[in-house]
Amino acid sequence: MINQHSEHHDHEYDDHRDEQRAEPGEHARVYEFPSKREDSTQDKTDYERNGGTAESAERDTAGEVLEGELVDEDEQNITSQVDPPESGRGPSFWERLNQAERRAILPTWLSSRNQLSQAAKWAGGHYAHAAGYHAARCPVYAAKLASQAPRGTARIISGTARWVFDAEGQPLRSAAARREDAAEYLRLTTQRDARVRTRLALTLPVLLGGLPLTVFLVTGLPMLLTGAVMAGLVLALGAAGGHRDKPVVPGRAVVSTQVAKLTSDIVERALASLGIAEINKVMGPRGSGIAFPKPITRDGPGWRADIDLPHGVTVPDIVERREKLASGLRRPLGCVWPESDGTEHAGRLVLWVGDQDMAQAKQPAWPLLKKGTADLFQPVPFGTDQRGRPVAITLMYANLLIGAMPGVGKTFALRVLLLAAALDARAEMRIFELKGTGDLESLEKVAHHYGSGPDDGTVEATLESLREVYQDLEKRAATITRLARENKALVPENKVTPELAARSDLGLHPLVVAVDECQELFSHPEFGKEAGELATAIIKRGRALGVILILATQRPDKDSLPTGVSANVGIRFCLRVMGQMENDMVLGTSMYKNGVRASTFTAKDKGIGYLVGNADDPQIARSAYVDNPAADAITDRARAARHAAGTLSGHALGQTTTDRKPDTLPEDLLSLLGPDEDKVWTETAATRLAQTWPETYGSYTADQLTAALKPHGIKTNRQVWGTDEHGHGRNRRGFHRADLAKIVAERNRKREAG
Amino acid sequence: MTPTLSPLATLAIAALVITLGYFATCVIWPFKPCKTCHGTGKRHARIVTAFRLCTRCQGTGRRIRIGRHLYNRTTSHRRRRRTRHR
Ligand SMILES: [Zn+2]
Repeated sequence: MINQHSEHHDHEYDDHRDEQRAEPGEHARVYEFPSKREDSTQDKTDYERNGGTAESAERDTAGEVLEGELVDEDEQNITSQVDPPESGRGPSFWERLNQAERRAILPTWLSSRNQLSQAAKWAGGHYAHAAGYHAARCPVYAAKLASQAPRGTARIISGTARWVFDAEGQPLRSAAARREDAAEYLRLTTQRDARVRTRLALTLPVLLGGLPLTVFLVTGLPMLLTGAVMAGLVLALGAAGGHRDKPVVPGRAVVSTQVAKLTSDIVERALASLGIAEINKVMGPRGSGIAFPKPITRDGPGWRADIDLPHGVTVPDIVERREKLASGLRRPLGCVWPESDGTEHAGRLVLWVGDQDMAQAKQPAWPLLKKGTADLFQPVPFGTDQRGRPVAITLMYANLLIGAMPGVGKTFALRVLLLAAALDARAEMRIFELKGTGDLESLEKVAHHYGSGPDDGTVEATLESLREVYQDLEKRAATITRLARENKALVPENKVTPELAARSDLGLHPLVVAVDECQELFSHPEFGKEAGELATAIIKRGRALGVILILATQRPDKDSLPTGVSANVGIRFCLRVMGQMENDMVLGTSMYKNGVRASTFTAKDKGIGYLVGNADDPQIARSAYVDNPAADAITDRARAARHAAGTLSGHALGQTTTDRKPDTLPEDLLSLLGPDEDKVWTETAATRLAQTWPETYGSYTADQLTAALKPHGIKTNRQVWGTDEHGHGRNRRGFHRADLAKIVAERNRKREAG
Repeated sequence: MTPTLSPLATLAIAALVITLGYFATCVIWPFKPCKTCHGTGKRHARIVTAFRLCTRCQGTGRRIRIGRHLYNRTTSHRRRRRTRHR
C-alpha cells in the first residue's frame, strides 16, 4: 500500500522533478522516472553538474545507447520505408485539372438536335395517345356524369341551405346547450340570426328573380343551344355529384412502370449475397464496407453504380454470379448488367441496372428501316446496347463471326448487317444460307451470288463462289500493288479507300461474302477442307482488299469452324451459347475467363449477345429487329439504288451462276490420259485441260490445278519421270493414273448410291 | 268497440304528439326564459330604479329546459363512463 502510494506520489510530482532533483540525496530516485529518458542528454549534464557517481552515470549511458540503436535513422530508412511521405508527391493541381473530366453543360437530350426532336416526338405522342384514349371513352364518362346529376343537384341545394342557415355554427350552439351555458348560447344564436338575415338577402333575389329569368332565356334560345346548355348543366351537376372513391375517369391512359431507385444499401446487400468471402469480410461488423467512388446516378433507362470491389475481388467474379446478383437486387436477370470499367483497375465494377428487362425493353427502330443508304466504310447501325444506346459496326477492313444456339436470333442479326451492306450500292453481295429456311431470301434480289439449302449443290456453289473470291483477291492485290507503284497517295496504307472502291474500272468495290450456318460448309466431308483454307485465306488477306467475310454458325466447334477462321476474325458477335467452349470459340480465347460469358443469356434474350472487337471493350448488343416484310421493302430500295448506280450483277440480274455444272475435274482429267499413260506431269495435264475445255480450264496453271485437285484427294506431289519439250528426261511434279482412276471410281460409286 | 277505444287512442296520440313536440322544442330551443326574472335577467328592488342580476339565471334571462337538462345529464354521464372505461 505504501509503495503504491509513493509511486502515485512520484507521478504527481512528475512535472516538478527538476525541483526535486535539486534536493541533495534525492537524485537517484528521480533518475528512475520513465519519462526522464526523453531528455537524457540534458539530464546527464545536469547530473554531472550535480556531482553524481560514475556508476549511475554509466547506467544512464548504457540505457541511452540501447535506445539509440532502436531508433537509428539510417537503418530505418533502408529496411522499412516503403510508402512515400504524404506530402509533395502525386499529381499537381494543374495535372489533375488537365485530366479532369468536363461534364456537359446541357444534358444530351437538350444539346443534340436529334435527341431533342426525339424527346419532342415522344411527348407529342404521349399526349396524343392520352387524348385519343379519353376521347374514345367520352360517352361512358357522359353517362356516368348524367347518372350522378340528381345527387349533384341535391348536394348543391343542401349545401346552399346549410350555408344560408349557418349549419356550420350548429355544433357550437349545441355544445353551449350541452354545457347549459345560456350566455354563450345567446351570443351564438344572435350571431346566427344576423348571418341568416344577410345570407337570405343575398340568396332570395337570385332564387326568385335570377333563376326564372335564366330558365326563360334558355328556353328562348334555339333548340340546339338549349340542348347544349341543358347538357352542360346536367354534366356540371353530375360533376358536383361525384364520389371521391369512384372517379368518373377511372384509369390513366399511360401506365408508367414504377421502378425502385437503386441505392447503395440495395447494392451492398446484393453483393453480400453473392457468397464471396472477401466481400463478406468487408461487409462484416469490423469491415470497411463497400466503396462507391461515384454517386449512383441515372444513366439512360436505368441506374448506374460505380463500385470499388474489395481487394482481391475482380469484376469477372461478379459477372459469373450475375444471376445471384440479380436475385440479390430483386430484379429480373435481363436488367442486371455488371461490367468492368476499362479505364480503371480490375476491381472497379460498373453495375448498370435497367428499369426493364433488356429483351423486353422497347427498341428504337433500325435507322435505315424507312430511308437512307449505308456506307460500308462508315459504321452501319446494328442495334442497341443494354442502355439503349445505338451500336454500330464498321464492316470494312473487318470480318465477322456470329455464333449462337439455334433459335436465339442469329440469322436476324446477320440479316440486319446484310441489309445495311445491301444499302451500299457499291457492295457486291454473295449470300449463302445453308439451312434452307429462306431467312435471307429478301436479299436474293440484290445478291451477286445467292444460295439457299442444306444440300451438297448449295455447299458446292458456296465453295465455288469462295474460289472465285479467292481469285478476285489475287486480282485486287495486283491492282493495289500497281496503283501503289503508280501513285502512292492513292493507296496510303495499301488498303482499299472509299475513293478506289467507288471507281468501277478498278474492281475494288466492297465484296461481302456471307455464309449462314457455315458449319455445313466447313464440316462437309468433300468440300469442307478446301472451304476452310479459302475462308482462312480470305479472312487473312481480304481485310485490306475490301473483301468482307461474314460467317454465322450454330455449332462453333473445332470441326465446324477452322482454327484459322476463328483465330483471325476481327469482330465477333456471340448470342446465347451453351458453355465455355462455344463461348471462347466464337469470342476468342479466355473470354469466358475474363467474364465475357454469352452462356449467361437466357432463352428469351433474343438477338442479345456479346459483341467483341467492335469497340475497345466487349459490349452487350441487341441486334435491331427487322421483320420479313420490312426486309423486303429495304432490299427493294437497295435494288432500286443499285439499278440506278448500275451495280446489279449476277444472280440479281437472273444469271444462274449458282447451278453451274458440277465439278468433273477428275473425270475430265482421266479422259485426257492416253490408255498407256500411267503417270503424267501436272504441267502437261494443265496444258491439255486448257486446250480441250478453254472456257472451263483456260486459266489453269500447274499450281492452280494442284490446288483444285487437292480437295478430291489426289496426290499431286508425286515425282514423275518424263520428257520435257526439249527432249530431256527429268523428274517433275505429277500424278499417277492409278490414283486418279481410284478417285473417279469412288465418285461414281457415291453418285450411284446418293 | 270504437266508442270505448277512441278516447284512449286519442289520449295516446295526444301524449305522443306532446312528447315529440317537447323533444323537438328541447332540440331547437334548448333554453327557455327564466321564470324568476321573466327572461330579463334582472331582479328589481322595491325602489323602482335599482335592480340586480337574477341569481337563478346568472343574468342571462335564460334557463335550460328540463328535458334538455335531463338529456345532458344522461349523455354526459354516459360519455364520462365511456371515457373512463377506455
Ligand atoms: Zn332569471
